[in-house]
Amino acid sequence: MLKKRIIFTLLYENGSFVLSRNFRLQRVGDLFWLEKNYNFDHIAFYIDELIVLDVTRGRRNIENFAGTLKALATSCFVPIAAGGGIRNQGDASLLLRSGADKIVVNTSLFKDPKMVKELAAEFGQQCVVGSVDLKRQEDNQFGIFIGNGAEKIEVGVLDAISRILDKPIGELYLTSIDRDGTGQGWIVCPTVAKCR
Amino acid sequence: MGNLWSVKNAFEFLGSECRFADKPSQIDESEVLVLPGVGSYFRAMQRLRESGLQEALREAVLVAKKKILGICLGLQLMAEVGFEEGETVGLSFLTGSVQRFTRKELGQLKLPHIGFNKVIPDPGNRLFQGLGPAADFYFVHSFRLLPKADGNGSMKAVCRYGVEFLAGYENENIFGVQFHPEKSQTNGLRLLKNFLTA
Repeated sequence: MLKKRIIFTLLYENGSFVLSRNFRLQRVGDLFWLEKNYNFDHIAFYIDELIVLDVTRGRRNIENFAGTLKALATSCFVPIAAGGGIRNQGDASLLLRSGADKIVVNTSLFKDPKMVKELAAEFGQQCVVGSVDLKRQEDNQFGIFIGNGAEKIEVGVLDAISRILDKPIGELYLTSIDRDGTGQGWIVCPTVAKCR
Repeated sequence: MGNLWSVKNAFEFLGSECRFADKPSQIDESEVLVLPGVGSYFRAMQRLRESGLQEALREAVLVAKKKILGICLGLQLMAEVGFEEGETVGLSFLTGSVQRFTRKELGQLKLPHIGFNKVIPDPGNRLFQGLGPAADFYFVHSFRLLPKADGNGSMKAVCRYGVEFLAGYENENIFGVQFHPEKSQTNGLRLLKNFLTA
């Protein structure tokens, strides 16, 4: 029987780590800060998996992100998924060489499915994590947002999720924009729950 | 998975000096060997053959009796034959073949088998010393090793995913695990340490 996993997500923006609430970011500190105040090396022994996302608004610097990732990964002996702004195989490869085991893709699931396919072909399907951000709309229905939650896609949740599950991804990673960072847990989207 | 960097990182954390071997001479110079999994069965064997590493490994493991730990695909490569992308002859350090989990075995379960799962070792298993009668480890795989009963004193560890399968193997200087110790937190580091001291 597979066990439940406690997966910790760290968000990174332009050289520092950030807290996010409903996808609005608040800067907390850099890698040194994280070690000093969180004792992250220690915490890393109490989680089952780590996700590190570059949620930089605007232009990203993937080399810097990879450097930070590597420093984190050195004292972390759990599976690490990393992503945020992956544009091509080279980006993915850089993160995989910097300690990541899996690559998280979100916007490209919709904007560049060809690249997602290429990543799976090169690194294996188990290496690709599909990330989907959901938000409840005024009509109480859920919608899917890409680009750090900035852009709504005009495809129904059921259609979109079914299509994503047909793509060569190993895992699906869902985030509720409404509940993000609120400590209130996840809103179960009934449509997603139905998808197999 | 198959992240060489993580395997090296874990062994360095334990105080070992680690090198990636791409030449046969580097295998000769090493004290202990680790064979992690990268890519598919066919491609991995092809690379081992072409680089001359296959011969060096056979010599080191079967003749010089150096300790070796196969991880994930690395364990599978030590079998006689693998059935990923056709039929490929393996290193034959142990008897058995590598095959995909079948639909019938899995039922509703999905492939790849990803996540932490419970591993039960034979009592007295050196790799699992100090880890109790059962311990959780991180798996990512769709294929598994079907060993032949060899009656040569080998010890096993098993895991269950739809069906019971081989999660760990050890016999004299030959060790292998289907899971990723380098990604299995405290349990994984303990297992790697056990390997080094075995």
